[in-house]
Amino acid sequence: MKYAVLQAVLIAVIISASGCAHHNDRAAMDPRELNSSAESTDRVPSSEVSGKSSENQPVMFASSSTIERNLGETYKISQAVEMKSGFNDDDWEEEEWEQEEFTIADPLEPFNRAMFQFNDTLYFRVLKPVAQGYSKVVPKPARSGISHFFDNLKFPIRFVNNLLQANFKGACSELGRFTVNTLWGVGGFLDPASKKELAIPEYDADFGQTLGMYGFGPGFYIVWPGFGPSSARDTLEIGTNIFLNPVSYVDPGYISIAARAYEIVNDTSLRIGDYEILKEAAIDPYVSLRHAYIQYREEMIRQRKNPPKPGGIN
Amino acid sequence: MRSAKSTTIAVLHRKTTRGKLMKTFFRIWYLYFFVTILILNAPLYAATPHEAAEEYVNKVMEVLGNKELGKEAKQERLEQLYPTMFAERELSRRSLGRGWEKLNPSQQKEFVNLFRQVLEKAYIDKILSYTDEKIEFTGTRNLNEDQSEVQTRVVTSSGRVPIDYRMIKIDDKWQIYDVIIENVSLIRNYRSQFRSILARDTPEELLEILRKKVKEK
Repeated sequence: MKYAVLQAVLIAVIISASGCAHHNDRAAMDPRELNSSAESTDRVPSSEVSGKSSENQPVMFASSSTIERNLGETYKISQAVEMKSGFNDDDWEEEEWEQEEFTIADPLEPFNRAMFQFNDTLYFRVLKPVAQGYSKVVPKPARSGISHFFDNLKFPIRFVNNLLQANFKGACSELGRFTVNTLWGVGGFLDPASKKELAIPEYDADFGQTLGMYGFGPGFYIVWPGFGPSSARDTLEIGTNIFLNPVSYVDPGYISIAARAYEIVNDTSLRIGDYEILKEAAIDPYVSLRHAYIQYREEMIRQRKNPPKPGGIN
Repeated sequence: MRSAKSTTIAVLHRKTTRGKLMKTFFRIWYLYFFVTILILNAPLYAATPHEAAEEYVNKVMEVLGNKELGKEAKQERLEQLYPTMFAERELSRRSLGRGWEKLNPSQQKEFVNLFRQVLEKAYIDKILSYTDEKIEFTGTRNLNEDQSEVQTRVVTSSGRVPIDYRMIKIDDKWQIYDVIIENVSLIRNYRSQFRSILARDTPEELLEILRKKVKEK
């Protein structure tokens, strides 16, 4: 059963790959260079798309602009509702150009604070010592390579979610990265796709983001033991990531769990110190993390919806 | 046609004795010198936000790259640089948001002071451990005639981190009042924390929390 799903994903990849070859020529542009106002969500001028569709393109490309427009409408409405029912009613006056700050309700705060404390202890008592020991044994370039390797493997997650978000440019870009990195990057250890000569842009996408693009607000804040900060919506992402990550399909089961654990240790070893800085800098680390999390997530979704004007924040 | 210089001298020669001539001479050259310096310096003050940001980054890099300084010496120099780079009052006021008005002027002053120490303590180690990450300036966005955003990207081993600086022009000098790292704004992040603290504590208690934090290690 699991293999059938994996095969289905691979077939989807191959089909879109044939469409990608045409689509990619047009948009080698960085999202920054796209000119779009806050209202318009048309990222692909419809004339271009319809012109292409006469060349035997798969039908799904023709309607990408309509999908994006509909997504935009739904998102705006849901966001308006979200703002009104936001948890924080601080009406500190921002300057006119400031985009509204994102807020999230936190009705489970006592539970969340307890989980936050648990994760904190887990990090300092277990994860950090292991990662530090590991980093002494394995040199940094090797660890970076391993990190790239696992990152490359997560390609189906990004690809499928880009497709679900009707971001075909992103899907193709990710496909390109995967191909280049696997073939020329020694199975994913190197990252030639990011080098200046090629510079294939990354389009990180996950399921929580996809749901957000379809207009789902984040819901309420929740901190999971082990996984960390999340929201009601993003919790669904944890399940789908396991579903789409090829590592989960490794037989026998305990090897795939071990591989996942190894990936976590490796990634942490590259990032020791980041969490400590957050704690050091914050007066109330729990609130700081909650704020940072929701800003980061919602801003990512907002920028996907409305690509910024030239010179805007990437 | 005599030059301005020789005319001036001729005029002076006619009008003064030798001793007074020398004095006036000096004064005039002093004036020339002074005016030239002023003209040369003017661009520094009317610099664009981008130039100001680059200047600050370069100054910090200079200190960090100076092999002759020990860690403490570098820290001292950076601490001296800090008030020149950051618009401290703007930064602190915006971090408190509505809470700023709840503080009386002396509390506000203490808050600015304490907040600076909190930030320095938090970030100094990370800054001192900078090795060779590349900093790219990727653009500028003008928000207002007095406010602007300078976008940069730091290329680290684990990826590219976008860091934007919001700058404000005060007395003709551009200074930083907000740092936005991967879309998370520093002042907004602190504002959310202070908001939740001030919802249950008084301003004095807030200052006490900050004092304790600065003392602890």
